[in-house]
Amino acid sequence: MSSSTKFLTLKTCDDKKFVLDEAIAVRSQTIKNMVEDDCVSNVIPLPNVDSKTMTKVIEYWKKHSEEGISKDMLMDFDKAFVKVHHSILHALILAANFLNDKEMLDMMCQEVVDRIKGKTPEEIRKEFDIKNDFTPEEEEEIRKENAWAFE
Amino acid sequence: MNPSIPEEIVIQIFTWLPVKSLVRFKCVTKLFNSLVSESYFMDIHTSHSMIRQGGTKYFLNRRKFYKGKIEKSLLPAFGVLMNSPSISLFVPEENKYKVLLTQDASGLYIKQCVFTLGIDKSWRKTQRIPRSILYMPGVCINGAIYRLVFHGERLSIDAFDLKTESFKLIILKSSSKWWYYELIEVRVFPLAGFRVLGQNQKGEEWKSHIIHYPSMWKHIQPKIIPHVILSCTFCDGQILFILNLESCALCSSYDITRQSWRKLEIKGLPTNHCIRGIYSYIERLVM
Repeated sequence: MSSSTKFLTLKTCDDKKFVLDEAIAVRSQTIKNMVEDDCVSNVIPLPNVDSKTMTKVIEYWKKHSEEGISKDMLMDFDKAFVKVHHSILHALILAANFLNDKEMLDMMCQEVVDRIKGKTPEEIRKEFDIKNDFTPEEEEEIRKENAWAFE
Repeated sequence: MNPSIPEEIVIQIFTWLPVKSLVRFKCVTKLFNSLVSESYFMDIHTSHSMIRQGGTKYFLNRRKFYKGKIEKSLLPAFGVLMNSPSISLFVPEENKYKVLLTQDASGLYIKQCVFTLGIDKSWRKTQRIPRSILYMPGVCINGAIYRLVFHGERLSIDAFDLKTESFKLIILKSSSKWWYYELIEVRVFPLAGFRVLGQNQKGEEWKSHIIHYPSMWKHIQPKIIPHVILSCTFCDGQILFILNLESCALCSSYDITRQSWRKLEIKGLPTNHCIRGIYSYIERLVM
């Protein structure tokens, strides 16, 4: 192992600190940019991520940085990784978005796609916390026009 | 507290949804209602349909012909529905869909009608075409439908341009063993064994190519192979081949670029040997 292994300290919004190998942490484009711009002092604050979510993110990063891990093993890991409660999934999406890890974000989004594709419009509003801005008449009209999609 | 997912990510998630879900989610909010008819969204959605599971759908042509409801939003991009004796083809052209109906009537000419979805109120008659035997449904390339026909004793290609609604007959020079031929669009040359007639992107010229049978079909008697039916999936240069056997239908896809075969599983494929054609299309949104 090279002696130049650098460690970064990440601080989540609930003031927990995570010490991580820089080579792993730079899976986050956000952190990578900070490192490259040399604006990393001692601690990198992550104001949008809590420690519970960061623990999961680091688990994912470490697994995906493991040497000699097979594609099948990674696939199994990913499959199990996304099987989490809806609130954790959402938190992970927000974290992946903030940390700018496209690979992870895409994977989490894919899981959401699988979960929502069979849902009703009401369930979608609930899922994404969206307010209905149609009048009941307008909504009824669109439903009627697209009745086949509700079959 | 659980902050909600930002709108741009929700939109990103939506680009991966099947058309039916998207249409259903139109009544979630005004934003989603208009989103599905935004051209940038439609383009991304189509490109994702090409790679997502279930994004490519297959129509089967069997003795009992395909019956399906024509849903405007579900119209296939390159789909072909064939029900003997009439043939219908859907083609996108500047976001318009046209259906071509060929009536195999007796007489010297064949009547053809065109219907533009959302515009025409009834079928419009087009130029009559000389009587020939259509023995295969065609392919649609750049807004023109090409079909292999027997004109007199010559194997020909009948070309119908959906934009101009004009018809042309291309007589082929070599037409021996015509039952070996299939029409496909070839985006990447050259091909190496199956006799396929490929048209390159530049246009009118058709060339005969040979693609060798996959090694996984080696145990099958060569005389059965002509019952192979194929379709090009267009999206990524893969050609789908289906081999009808008494007890099963074997599917394989051929990658033109890599010149390699891959076994393919299609859900719901009938196991008896009555498949006469298979057509693929990429699920996409239309205005």
